[in-house]
Amino acid sequence: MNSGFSAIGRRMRKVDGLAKASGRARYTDDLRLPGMLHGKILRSPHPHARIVSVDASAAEAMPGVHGVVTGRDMPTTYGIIPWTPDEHPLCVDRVRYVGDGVAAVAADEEETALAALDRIAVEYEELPAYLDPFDAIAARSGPFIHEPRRPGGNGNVTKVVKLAFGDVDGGLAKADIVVEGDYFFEGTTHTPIEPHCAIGLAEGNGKLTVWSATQVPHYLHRELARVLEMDPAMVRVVQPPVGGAFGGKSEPFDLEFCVAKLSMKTGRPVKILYTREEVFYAHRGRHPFHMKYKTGADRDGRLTSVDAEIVMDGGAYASFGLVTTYYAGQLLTAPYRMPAYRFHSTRAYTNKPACGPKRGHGSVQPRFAFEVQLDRIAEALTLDPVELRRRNALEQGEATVNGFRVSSNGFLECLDAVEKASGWRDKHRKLPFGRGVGVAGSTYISGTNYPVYPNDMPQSGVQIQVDRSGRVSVFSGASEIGQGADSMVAYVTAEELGVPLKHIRVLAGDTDFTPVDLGAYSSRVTFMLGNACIDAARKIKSQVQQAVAKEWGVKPGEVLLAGGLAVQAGDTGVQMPIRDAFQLAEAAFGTLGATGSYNTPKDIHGSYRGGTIGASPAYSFTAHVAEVDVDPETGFVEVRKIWIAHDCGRALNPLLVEGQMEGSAYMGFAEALMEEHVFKSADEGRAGLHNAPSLLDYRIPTSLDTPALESLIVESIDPEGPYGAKEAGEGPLHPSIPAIANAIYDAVGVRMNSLPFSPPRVWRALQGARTVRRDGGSGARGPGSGAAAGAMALCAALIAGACGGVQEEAGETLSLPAAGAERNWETERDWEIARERVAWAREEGLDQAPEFGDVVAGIGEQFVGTAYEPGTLELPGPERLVVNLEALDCVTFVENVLVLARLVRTAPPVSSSDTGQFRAAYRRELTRIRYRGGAMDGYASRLHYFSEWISDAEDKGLVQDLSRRLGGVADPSVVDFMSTHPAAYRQLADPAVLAQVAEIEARLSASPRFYVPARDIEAHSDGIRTGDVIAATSTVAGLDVAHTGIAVWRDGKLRLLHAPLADSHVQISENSLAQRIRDIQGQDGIMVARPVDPA
Amino acid sequence: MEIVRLRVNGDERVCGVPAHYTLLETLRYGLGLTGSKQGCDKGDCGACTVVLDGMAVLSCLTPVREVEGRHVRTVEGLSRGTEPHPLQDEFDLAGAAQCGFCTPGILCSAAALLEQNPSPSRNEIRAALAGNLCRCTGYEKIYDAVEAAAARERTRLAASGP
Repeated sequence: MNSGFSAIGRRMRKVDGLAKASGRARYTDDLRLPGMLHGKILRSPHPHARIVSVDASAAEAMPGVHGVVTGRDMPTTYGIIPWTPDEHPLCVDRVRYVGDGVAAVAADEEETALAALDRIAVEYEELPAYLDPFDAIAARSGPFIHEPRRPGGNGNVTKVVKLAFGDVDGGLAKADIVVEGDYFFEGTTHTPIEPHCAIGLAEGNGKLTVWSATQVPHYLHRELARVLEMDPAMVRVVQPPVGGAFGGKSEPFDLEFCVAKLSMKTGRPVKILYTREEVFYAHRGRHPFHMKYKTGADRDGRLTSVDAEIVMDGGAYASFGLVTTYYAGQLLTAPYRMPAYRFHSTRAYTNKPACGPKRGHGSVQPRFAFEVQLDRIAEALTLDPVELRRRNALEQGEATVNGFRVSSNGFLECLDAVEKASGWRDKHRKLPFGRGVGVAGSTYISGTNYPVYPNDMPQSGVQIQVDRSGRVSVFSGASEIGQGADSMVAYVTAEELGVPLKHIRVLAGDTDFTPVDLGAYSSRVTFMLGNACIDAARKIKSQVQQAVAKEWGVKPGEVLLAGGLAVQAGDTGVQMPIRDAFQLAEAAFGTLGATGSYNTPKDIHGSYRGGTIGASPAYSFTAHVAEVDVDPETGFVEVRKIWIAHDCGRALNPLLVEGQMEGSAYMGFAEALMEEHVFKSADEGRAGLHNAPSLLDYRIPTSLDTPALESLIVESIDPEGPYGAKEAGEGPLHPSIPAIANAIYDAVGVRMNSLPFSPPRVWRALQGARTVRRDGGSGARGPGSGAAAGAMALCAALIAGACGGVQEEAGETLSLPAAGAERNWETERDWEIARERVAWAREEGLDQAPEFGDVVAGIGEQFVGTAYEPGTLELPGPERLVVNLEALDCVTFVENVLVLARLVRTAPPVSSSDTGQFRAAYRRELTRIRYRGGAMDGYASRLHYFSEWISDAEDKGLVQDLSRRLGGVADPSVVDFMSTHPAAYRQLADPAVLAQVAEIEARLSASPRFYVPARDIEAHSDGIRTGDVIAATSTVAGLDVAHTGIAVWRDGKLRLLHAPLADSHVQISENSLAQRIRDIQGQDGIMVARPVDPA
Repeated sequence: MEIVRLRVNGDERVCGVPAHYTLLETLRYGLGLTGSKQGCDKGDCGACTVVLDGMAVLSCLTPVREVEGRHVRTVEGLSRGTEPHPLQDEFDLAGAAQCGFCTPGILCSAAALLEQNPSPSRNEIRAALAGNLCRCTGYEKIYDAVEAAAARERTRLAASGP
């Protein structure tokens, strides 16, 4: 489990764990500086307006107010992406969202600062606001939200990316199935529990220090210097412990510039703490995505082509949007092989808070859509969704279609892990109505090969200093935001230098004292900082080894540093405390210290414009299975559990990796079911006002909402990661959402294509599905639309009136059965009936009856009077075992009677009072009878043609086909009713399923089948016994059997016990079987199958 | 300004604060006890939770004048002398604190729970923490830590029992 490591791979404490658990950790708002003032920011009440004038004189004159700044004090624009600097710290001449900062006040008390805001007079000239990205894109003339970059351009568009790889149209044309879907991912926000906070201190000697709850101190450092027009060497950024970030603190915010400028203006330290409401308006969270996907696959489920069109609602500023627009397409190309791929993504500006990077930046939304598409393909091809994903997985070492190198890939292991742990095979398409499981996979980057601003310097740096006391200090440029960055460098240092964790100090996130690391974003820290730390530590290690080797007279390579000791490899009895080893090294080399750095490979990316964006030194892989309960009455979805398998390369500390996996899955779950970062429209009175800027109304999951989460770590050992490690902080979020969507489908058969899957949306989707079912399919829009029922071959003919005495020919005007609409896959009533039947049979002594046929007929007779209903197996959604004893058609009557009779005879007897055991046994028997080879694998696996039902049952040892022995003659006619009447079967809308059915028909047509012609039945009646299964053969072209029932000798007459359409309930025929067949047009003979006694 | 007398973590404290101050403001600004956090300032997040006479309460919604003379315990007062409270140690061992910002409030809710119910089930732990939002962990590691701490406390009490 822990091969050759002393610290790496162990479940260790964090370096800051106890400080955080004792209240000692000092976050930004916990700092108070002498003479500190409190700042507040005045914010725009309008979503879009020109600033005509700002008059702060009354505020400045207030007692207790020490300074006011406005946009004109900081006129330089900035932006986290150097190509899109479209923001001012405070607005200069235009406000672009409700909440845009206009002026800031510093006062000795918070209340005074707040009161002063009211005294600032701002005159606005309101402009039309764009709240919808499509409106923004459609705009032909200004005023746009930003000035067009080119004359005549649309200033409402941040970025358009169109990229294509391979023959997309050809791939779609040659696909056996093309699934198309529209998806909407609602915006969500990070919601760290710590609000943003910053303190500025201008010391009067030209030095400026800003403490901030940021996850990018280096970028803040650069932007502060640029915007405030200062020498960067005079600016210091200190990042105290950060109380959660998730991407929400990964660029400069107005408060950081304001505290700096106010301190420079007042000569006093100034703190600004956002209110929770301000945190919601600061946002930079998940973009709402409107997505269209077209996905082609061959009949084996292998992808042939993917075509995507995405419109992103960006909010008022660019933020990271240029990157987001690329990520929306670029990060979809693993873990599945895509022979051809095209995406067209457009980011629109709107007059709402700017969107930016939230955990899983830009790729969570497409992943949702794409993984639902895969689920639909799997369903249409009657493939297991896990198997479909396996078939499409990239091979080891295989690059993506857009040219990304994948250095390690544990995706298949992730699939195996969740499949096994979740009990997938026993659950998928097998759980009762209302419960379901879903699977999804994903990939994510471990940092980006190209930094946000172009440069050739390292992406990450570490400096280590060793003291003769044995203490080792690690200076890390990285940002500890709860993910464990500080602990990670401590583990690496402990591993390399052999010192105990308690002797390691980590000082991080202070630009005056730590080397540059670019920040805690894009899941780059473990990979890059870890490698930088190894680099630094090994330099010192080498010196220590040399010094000790000289002392012992051995080679340096023979000196091991571990467990607080230096040990001689060849003779482990030779050792010294690591402190002594450090002293030897310090004596030999002087003060011990080293720097280490890491830079990304720069020659590995796609050779096209944009091909560097998304290129990463390594990719992580994830698979989830989610299990849900859906209440069809309320639409409430309860996620019972999520199994999370994640390939993190190597788990440097499995405990922290699990924490990232669980936290990610939780956050994905939250987006799936609860979170909506939405704004009021003009119709609601206040355009652009946040709908719910509080932690009560913007619902994030409490402990009671959150499902059980099980982490399954997969280690692919990346060749370039530190000890093989890759990222774990963002990848495991992605699959939660589509896994839940797919599980909802498995549970209740509705596709949720819009987030969140809140009770109203799910309820409406369920209502929609019901309406469609009531309409008898008129609303069907192809596979996956929750469309109407299809029918068995037989039942389609029944509806057309081919049996039961209705004298009409089957024609082309088949209508879909509308029944089965109001019912679930099984109900408690079904189980009551089943138990009653078994109990009755045992009471009657049928379990001991000499003839099994009497058991079959006896139980069958108990159903006399039960309502006839066609199409009870045709519920929307994936093929699922239906247990329906409340209403029967001719086949389900025979099937269920057979199941019950077999259960009565099974030894040891299945107790009908042990609910779980009884139901499991019942489902097992029914599956065995109803599906080819006894295995359910989609729609085509059901034995739709009854002649095949009989031959398959014979193969399974369930019946004996007597037709030939009873004078049967061969029926040479072709069986192809279903494939020639595809409109009658919803599932056949999918060409792949149609192809499967046609293949089965071809096989049936080619195999001999025998029937007793109508005229010969009388003569052979003596060979037919009570309890035999009777199939009436059909004269309808392409159809083998028109009707089924059970033979019963009653009053000297061979009759048929059956569920006929004519009288709409189960009954025993008045006429003899022979007479019946002769009388009914459309039937020309019978097949006879004798049930085999299982006893 | 108003003079308030509080019993905080066993200390008798006197401080002058504006009359409208909440307990949270008094702790953080009046007494320098910054362990209790402000996440929303309106009773939604639970980061400010402290133990008041054995009950977990939201200090941001509690006017300080209502606390006069009552026992307040904050995260700084959970430790037992030089030893961390088993909850604190188990939070560290289980990786239950990621960013750590909700941790003080959760520890106070959990401490109040264990005092009332030394053997809580996982569901009872979930229910007791329902007022404390954690955005990092998905809660699993937190339950693990509370369960482990409860077990340790039971062992300790059994060992020191009659």
